[in-house]
Amino acid sequence: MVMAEPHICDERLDYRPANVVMDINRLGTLYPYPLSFMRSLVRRILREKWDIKRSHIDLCNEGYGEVIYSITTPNDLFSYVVFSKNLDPNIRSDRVIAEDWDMTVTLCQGEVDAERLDFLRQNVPLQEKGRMDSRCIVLSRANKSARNFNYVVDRLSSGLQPDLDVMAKVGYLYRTTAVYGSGKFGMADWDKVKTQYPDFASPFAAEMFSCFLIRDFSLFQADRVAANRTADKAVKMTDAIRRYVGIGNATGLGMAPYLINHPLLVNNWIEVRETALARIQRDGAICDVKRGDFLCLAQKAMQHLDEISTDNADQNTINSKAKADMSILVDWFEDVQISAWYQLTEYAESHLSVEAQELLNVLLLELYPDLMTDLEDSLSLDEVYALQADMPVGDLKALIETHYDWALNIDYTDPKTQGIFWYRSEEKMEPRLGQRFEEPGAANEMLLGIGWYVCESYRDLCTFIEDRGRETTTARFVFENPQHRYITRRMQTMAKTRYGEIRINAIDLDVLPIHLLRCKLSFFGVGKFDPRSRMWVRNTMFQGAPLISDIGESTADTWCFPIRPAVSG
Amino acid sequence: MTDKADLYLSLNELRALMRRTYEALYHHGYDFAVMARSCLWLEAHGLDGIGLIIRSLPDLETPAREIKLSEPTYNHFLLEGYGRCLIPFVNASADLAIAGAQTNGFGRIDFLNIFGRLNIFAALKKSARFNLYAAAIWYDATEGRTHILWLKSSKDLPDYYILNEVHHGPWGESGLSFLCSTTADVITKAVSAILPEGHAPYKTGRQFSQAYSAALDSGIAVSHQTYAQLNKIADRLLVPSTDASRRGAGE
Repeated sequence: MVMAEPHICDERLDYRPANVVMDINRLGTLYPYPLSFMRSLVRRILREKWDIKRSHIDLCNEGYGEVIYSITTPNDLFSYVVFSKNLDPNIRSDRVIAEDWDMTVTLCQGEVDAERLDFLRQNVPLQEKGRMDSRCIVLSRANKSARNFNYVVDRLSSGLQPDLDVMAKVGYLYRTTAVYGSGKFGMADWDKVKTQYPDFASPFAAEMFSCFLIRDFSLFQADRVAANRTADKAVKMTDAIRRYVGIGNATGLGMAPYLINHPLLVNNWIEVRETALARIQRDGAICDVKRGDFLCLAQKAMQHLDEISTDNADQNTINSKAKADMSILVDWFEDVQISAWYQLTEYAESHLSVEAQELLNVLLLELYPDLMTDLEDSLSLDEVYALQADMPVGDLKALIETHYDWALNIDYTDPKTQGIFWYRSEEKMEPRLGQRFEEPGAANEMLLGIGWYVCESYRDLCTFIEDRGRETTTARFVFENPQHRYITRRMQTMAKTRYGEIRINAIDLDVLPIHLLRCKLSFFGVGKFDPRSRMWVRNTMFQGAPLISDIGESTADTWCFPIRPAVSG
Repeated sequence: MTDKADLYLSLNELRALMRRTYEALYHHGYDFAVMARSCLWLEAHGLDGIGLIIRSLPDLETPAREIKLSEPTYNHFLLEGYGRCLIPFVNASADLAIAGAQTNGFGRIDFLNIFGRLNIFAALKKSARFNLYAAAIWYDATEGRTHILWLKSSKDLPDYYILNEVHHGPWGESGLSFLCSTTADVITKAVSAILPEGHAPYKTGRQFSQAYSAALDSGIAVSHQTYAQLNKIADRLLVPSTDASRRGAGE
């Protein structure tokens, strides 16, 4: 009868508590780990030796035109269609409200014939204003990092490789600005993808794959344009540098509501990660090889932190502090012969920043991939938030007090704690923040201030109990208070999970949505966070990842914490 | 009902549109997410959920009026709807019968003077989720037909029967009974009192399931006019752009 039972939970493990793990300030420090979606996807591509070819190339000398990739997996055939154009630099924008892009793409099932290409040609470049069909799985677009792209083309066409110092500053040629899936604009629903396209049946796998191929196209285009400029002189980028080129990404507020609206899914992602961590703490045997691996990884992570380039002073401070903390940790590790990893994590918890604590956790996760392989298929679940109508309201009250104490402890009489409201703008429904007491629009607020709704329902519940007694059913309470039905079934559902809700007051005047963005992006596998404000962040995807040409050559999964390659520029 | 010029919406897209539509109509006064899902389920199972909404819009747009709940016995509820559409309160009302079944083995709610009765479909799906047996019965005086949705097994969707016969129950000519039980025989007995033996379903649970698969595969056809009509309501949620609001996006 009970829904949403945790399915990966292992009571023999020593899990970290929810009040630690779900603190938004901690979630805002997460790093990618081996089960992050793009890591899982790349492992799958390499393991199954997907055949990825550019089957149709129709580009002018400047790299504008159309390219179709054919992707043959063990289960199916997919096509990835790229439309590249010459974009006026004056209208190039990473904002979701942009109207035109350097490159637009779609991933779809099956082959693309002339008729279908024509259909896609008429719709894909329009993005939100076009209509797709249910054979399409992903719709996306990307803009050039014009300075970097032109620099790379200039170097290659001059017979030179790009300088790694330059590449280290901006580790990509293109930035994606939106990646749509899950049935948007008429595309295939997630349920269809999950049941009919097993290659993309894990969370955001198709979306990540689209970014993977944007990266490939960016490299292909740069090489091709350079060769067209000076056929006799141009060189191709070396594979080592190509691997160091990722795909940029700009993520704004649009991603934040997703995390708040899908608490079961988020709980599941967190629980998988924490299960892996708890297994390592229990079963991760320490030997000389693992000690050496740990030190190598720690050095790599510190170099990675050192190479992150951002103009954000706060982020620079955080990165520097994390690196310094890691250095302290390494010194301690080398001085003290620990017999179990918990000694190291306890030291970190006592002496180091939260950022460094989570960095250490990722290092441990990277050391023991075999201890989490079986968890890879547990990352998706069917989200059901059904009202438990028969629950006595006395039990409901106790449930709220136990599982939502963090929300009840917020003092909503303080205007600051509800100083923000989230709304949808008339510009492409872009989510935005408004100041509740200064700007109009609060009447159309999105339901994201979960803590506030919890407190409102709790207040009315207490009154209801005084009138009707503790044994009255929840059904009766929500019938008489229909405005609380949603939050009630949500609370009943989340109370059955190990980690529950993200502990954030999303309507606080000082809320930092960027923490939500980083949390989600870390599960995607994104690194090199470069906050541009508290509301949006630039970052890098697939930097260090294998190339399409590496498929069949190796299955190594060693591209965490990407660092500049040891080759001359 | 639809033609080649129609839009094909994904299930997720339709659900999102309905969420915004209900949110625009009622803000957070009702469980807009489950209302949207109820519409989606009807439509995806081939029962014209969107058409029901469109026909109900004049009522849904009308400011809320009182409904009255009474409780003749501890597991039997009576809801006077005063001629309102069932949509806003169907789920919370069905919860009462479901809770009755969960706590006492049987629960029932009779709706009086309501319309849009097919919206009860979601309550049968929810009953199945809780391993309950259920039925919904109503008489449509306009058509002169009796409708029965009968959930015989928690593993399946309900079967849908339509009888060309008059069966006034306690629900009257514009009402509905929803019955819910932990055991099959109670529901079977109630339905068998009306449904002639061997009467073929209008739609079986299997046909509903096939309709859902087809909708998932190809999307749901919606006329441009209906799409525009729903979006016009949903767009009331949107806040005009200003320099201040653009700053609120991170500029």
